[in-house]
Amino acid sequence: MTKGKDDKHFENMIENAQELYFSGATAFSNWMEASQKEVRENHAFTAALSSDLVKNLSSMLLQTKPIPALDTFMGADQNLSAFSKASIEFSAAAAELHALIIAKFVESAENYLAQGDPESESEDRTIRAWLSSTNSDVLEFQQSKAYLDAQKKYVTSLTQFQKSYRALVEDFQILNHLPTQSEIDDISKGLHDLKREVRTLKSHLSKGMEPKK
Amino acid sequence: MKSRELNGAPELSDYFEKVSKGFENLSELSESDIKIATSKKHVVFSSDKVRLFKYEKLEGVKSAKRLPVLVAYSLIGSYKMLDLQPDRSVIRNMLEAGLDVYIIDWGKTNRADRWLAFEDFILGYMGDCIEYICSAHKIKSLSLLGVCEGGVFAACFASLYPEKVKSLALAVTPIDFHADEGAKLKPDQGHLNRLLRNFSRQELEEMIDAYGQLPGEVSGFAFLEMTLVKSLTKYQWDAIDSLSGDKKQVLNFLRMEKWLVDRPNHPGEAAKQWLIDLYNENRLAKGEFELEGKKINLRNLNMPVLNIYSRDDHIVPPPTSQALKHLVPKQCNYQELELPAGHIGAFVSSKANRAFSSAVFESIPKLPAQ
Repeated sequence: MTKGKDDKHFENMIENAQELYFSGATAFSNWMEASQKEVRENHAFTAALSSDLVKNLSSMLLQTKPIPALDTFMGADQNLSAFSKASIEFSAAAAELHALIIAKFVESAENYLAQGDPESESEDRTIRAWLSSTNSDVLEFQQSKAYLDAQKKYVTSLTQFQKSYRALVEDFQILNHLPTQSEIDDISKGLHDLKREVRTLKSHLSKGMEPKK
Repeated sequence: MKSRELNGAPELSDYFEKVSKGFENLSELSESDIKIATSKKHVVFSSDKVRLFKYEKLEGVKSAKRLPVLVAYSLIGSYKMLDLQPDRSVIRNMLEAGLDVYIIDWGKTNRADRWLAFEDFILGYMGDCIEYICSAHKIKSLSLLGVCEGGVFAACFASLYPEKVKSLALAVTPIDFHADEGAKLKPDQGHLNRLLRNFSRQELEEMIDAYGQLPGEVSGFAFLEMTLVKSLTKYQWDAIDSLSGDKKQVLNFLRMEKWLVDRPNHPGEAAKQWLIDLYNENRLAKGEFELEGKKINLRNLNMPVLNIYSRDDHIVPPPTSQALKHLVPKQCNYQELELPAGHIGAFVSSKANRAFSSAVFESIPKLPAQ
């Protein structure tokens, strides 16, 4: 065996084998990586698909239950709109009434100052004199049509605000299967009428029994 | 301006001294010091939330041998006003005079009581209380004292059942709710009447229906609004004076405040009758007010009638009470007493409440011979 030639051949063979191994390992690794990526992508796809299916199924199932339909939603929507409108109108009426009162206070103070030198030996007496003058002016103003109408507007807008708020609350109660204030009022009305009937009956009975005593 | 600058400092010093004294007074007082309605009483009859109390006789006081008196207060406030504190108590005055005194507590109504109407309070609860008292004392009729809205209740009952009311006393009671129109009034009088006439029936109905009742805080606010400046300064500028006086003065102030915050709700249907039928449409004076289909005719008031009103009443203007004089029958023994006080002052002003109690006592007939 010629050592040199054989050794060279062996070394080449080992090198080739090593290259082949490394290239094979790299290829395998690349394949594995690619496969894993594909699996991951497939999994995500599958999950998304499942989720969509569940969602679709839920929608289908929910649509078979007595849930708020479009008209119910629109009713709530309209009530919300009415509530917002009433709220704005109430705020405006309150601001209008307050503005009238403040304007009267200012006017009264100006009149008081215009009457002459409010200088007094006592700060307390000065303030009390000013308050007394303002009190007279405000009481007189409270009798005016402007004040009474502003107050009426305040009260009626507050009434509308209360009514619209109650309509909203009752929507919520109906959708959540809770007894509404109107239903409770109906029950208490029935009970009240019943009590009156019992009272009348008792009265008739006692009158009927009187002659027997 | 010089004098103001010179005097400003001592006044400021006085002011802070008052603030300090006010805090000192408040720190020394507790809830138990601010008791109201302390005259001893016990429940003798009850129906739903309504209770009939009988006041216990004072030790050492002999019976006046007069008919028992039933007191009916308004639904707007608490009956405790009539017994605010021992030295300002109409109830105590009557007990000291040896009377048998009963009072109706209408109870703390809420939205569940929204359907209660005048019919329930007058023909039902008040009628039952009167029946109980007559039965307990073995009498056929008693003396009835109604205050404000309670006075309207009493007048309605007495006109429907005159045989059950031997004498009728009304205090600060509006009868003709439109009598303020054209009358010579003080600037703070008649506001509530004018205000409620400015609404339509429908507007008032909707307002009450929106709450289902007339909430206590709403009527409380309406009373504050009647005298806007005084209400604003009461808890600001004047509060220091109210709280910095001697202990007795501070307690007087706090007891009144305690009564004021205890404002009951007014049942819805009864509120409609009060605000619409009476205030807005004046049906009682017109002879159009009905209870269970029966018209209230004040010409049926054939018993002695004592009508007490307050000269400075800013809630019930005197002409609205005085109008009764023209609505009772000619043969009625009708008497009036004008008190130099306000709506509440009639009961808590020491001078006015003595005059009030004395007049009521004199109006109560003696017990019939057994």
